[in-house]
Amino acid sequence: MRTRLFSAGTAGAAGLALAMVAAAPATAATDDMAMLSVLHGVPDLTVDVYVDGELTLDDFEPGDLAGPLELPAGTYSVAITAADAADDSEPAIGPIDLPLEAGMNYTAAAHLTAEGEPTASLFTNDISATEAGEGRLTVRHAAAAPAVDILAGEDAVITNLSNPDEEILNLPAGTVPAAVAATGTTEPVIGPADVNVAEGVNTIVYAWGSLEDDNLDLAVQTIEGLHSSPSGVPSGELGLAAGSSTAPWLIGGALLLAAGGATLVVRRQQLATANR
Amino acid sequence: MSRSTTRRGRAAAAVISATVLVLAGCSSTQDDTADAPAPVTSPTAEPEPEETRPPLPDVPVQSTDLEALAASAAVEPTSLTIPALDISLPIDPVGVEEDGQMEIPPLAERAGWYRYGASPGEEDGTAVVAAHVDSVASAGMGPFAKLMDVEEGDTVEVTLADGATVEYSVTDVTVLAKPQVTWPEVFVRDGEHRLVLVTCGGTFEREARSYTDNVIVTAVPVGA
Repeated sequence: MRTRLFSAGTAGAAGLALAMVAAAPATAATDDMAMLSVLHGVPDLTVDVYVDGELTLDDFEPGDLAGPLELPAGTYSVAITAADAADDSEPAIGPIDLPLEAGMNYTAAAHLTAEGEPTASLFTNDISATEAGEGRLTVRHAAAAPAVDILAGEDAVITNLSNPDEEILNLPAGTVPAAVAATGTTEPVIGPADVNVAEGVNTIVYAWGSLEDDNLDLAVQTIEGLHSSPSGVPSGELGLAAGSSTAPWLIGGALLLAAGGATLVVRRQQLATANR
Repeated sequence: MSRSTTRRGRAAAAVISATVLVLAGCSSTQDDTADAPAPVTSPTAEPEPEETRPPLPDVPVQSTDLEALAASAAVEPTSLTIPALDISLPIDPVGVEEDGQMEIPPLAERAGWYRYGASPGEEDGTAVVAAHVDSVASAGMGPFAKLMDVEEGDTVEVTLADGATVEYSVTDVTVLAKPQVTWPEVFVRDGEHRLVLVTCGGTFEREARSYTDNVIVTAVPVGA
């Protein structure tokens, strides 16, 4: 689900009108469109973001998330510069190519490598439907830190997660008391913090910052609208309210007491139900 | 990545026409050069076609703080009445059973509100409330045994946890064989707000311990 990015040539077509337009709050991309969010996970560095050579995000602050944007599928070149740069000729990160496929949902994250160097990763967000009653928790390691475990209470639910990898859990909807610890340990380096894994939502948690600089933190992104409906509504157990053909299995006095109501039900059922 | 050139070209063509739409909300043009056209001074100003410094797109930016993720606080429904049929029952929030079906309160005298969907009184989406027509725990039938007798135009009143009452008017009463019910069209999270009441009906299949049909009553907010 994750693609490591690399530098790829010069920025896109000069004179191209703004590429990242038509911002839309939709969740699932339609037809020939892709959804893109951009996360800033490099501490202490306010940046500008250029897309295909055009300034697209001005003074983008650490810990902020831009988007989602609905974009025509295609490859976009992104360069990230210091906030006071005049153009994208001397990027701090990139330029990098973001190949965005139709129907997919992505987050491009500027973050630190495990060793503390600024980099960028393109994550593909799982927008497949969740089961009724469940939410999805995606955990991404985007911090200058060694491999970690994710603890839910006392238990390690994800182990040995390394930068820039991710793990995905589908869970009953609810609040998870989550903490991040160095792998194999239980002493939190982040948290514990309550993470609301809402039903029908992909809740994406990024560990970002730097262990050495003591500024590790969590960033949270949510993608809604992934819910499924229950498969049925099983709202009767006895047959007391049943329509015709109930007679052979009468089970005692309860039905006799209910007979008056049942008569009405039968009449209505015969009117309204397709013949079975 | 090998197909990037042609796809980018197509993408560029597709977005140019949309460029003029993104001006509203731009707070500033930075680093003006001497010969640049005057910056947009009002968020509502008609944009001039610009050649030297196109405006920034209106990209929504949000914080990723965990605190912003607090569970949404819908006001829960607590009871429901249909005066025309003397139907009245308290409401419990419910979720999903292990088998993927909607959870229903064991007592037929209590209704369940699907807590992952809309709540009564919200602006969007469908609030689903269901109750057993009869149940083992109740050893008999419940108020929703009369649901099939509801008629178009009947009033449904839902009381919320904050004491408010939301009034609905019935627009449809349908009885469908269970395999024919398209539940994704019932449990809708967006679109115009409505209330859907569900129970069982039809004949009872003893081996499956299940009714053959679902009774589905749709109501819309009064005054909406």
